Amino acid sequence: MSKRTITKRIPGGKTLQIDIDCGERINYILISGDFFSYPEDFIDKLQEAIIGKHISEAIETIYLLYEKTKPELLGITIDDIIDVLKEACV
Amino acid sequence: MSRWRLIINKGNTYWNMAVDEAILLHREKNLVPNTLRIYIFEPSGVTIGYFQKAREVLNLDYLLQNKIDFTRRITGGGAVYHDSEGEITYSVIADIEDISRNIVESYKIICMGLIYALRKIGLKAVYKPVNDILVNNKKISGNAQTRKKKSLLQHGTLMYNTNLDMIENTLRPPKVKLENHGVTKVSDRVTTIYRELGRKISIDEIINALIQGFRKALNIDELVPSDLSVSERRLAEKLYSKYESKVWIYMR
Repeated sequence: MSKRTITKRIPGGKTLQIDIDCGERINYILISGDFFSYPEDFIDKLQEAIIGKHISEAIETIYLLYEKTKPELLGITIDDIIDVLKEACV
Repeated sequence: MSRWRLIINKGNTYWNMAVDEAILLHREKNLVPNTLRIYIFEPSGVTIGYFQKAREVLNLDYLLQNKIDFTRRITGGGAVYHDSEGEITYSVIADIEDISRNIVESYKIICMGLIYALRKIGLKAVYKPVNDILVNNKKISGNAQTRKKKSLLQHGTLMYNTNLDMIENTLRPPKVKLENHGVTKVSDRVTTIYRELGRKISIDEIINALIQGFRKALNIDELVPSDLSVSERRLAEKLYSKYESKVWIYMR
């Protein structure tokens, strides 16, 4: 599968855009938008953590990282990110 | 007794963002007091949110052709056109404990400074969580915050006479965002002080209103006019090159 871009305006929130290349595994991901993440580097760590992983493994990794970091996301939720990932890869 | 520092200055896009970060890093180490900074972008420039993709949200052809500076902020949120003759920017750099540990609440506390300022000018403004201030249902101010362990930086805009066509020319909002707002153009959802008042007022009057507004919102007893420390200035000079670098601007 080639690179795809999915853009979502989260109701009552912000814009979430994910550029992704996922075949059997996630080869590339870039999460962007006008949302807020505290700390900011949670998003970068999330991206790094799921490269090379199968979608189901990636989702598990994201939840684990989310529970460990306990970031505060404003304008999007962690489930919004996962929903877009599923839409792109499943 | 709360004693804050007041810094009023102007600079180009890279310098302004470098100064905000330099103050934050100094506040984090407790080297400087809580600070209210009021500043102007000269020349006009554009900043994008930390998580935004430059190529997605900016009209790069227009910016490059017209030699308009643009950079990425360390704060999230959206892209902003900072009009040298139509927009005043503020930043609040403070100990988190002096504002609120709760992020959403801290946005509101700081945004109240702008609401009081607009009220003083004669406009009824409302806070739209988490980071917008509206007058007559149109955005007049956008705000963005980042945090270190002990301190926060919140900066934001106050549009008094922003050239709305320039917002159109320099920014490219995603279509889904405009559809969501039920409008077709950025300028349909933003407004300015002059437009709402139906007349011009002086920049000094707006700055004074901002100072009074923030004093009230942040319970500042004493606000001491100051300049950057030598150490802050030196750090800002170092950070300047980050803000003008392609690596930083096109990081996303």
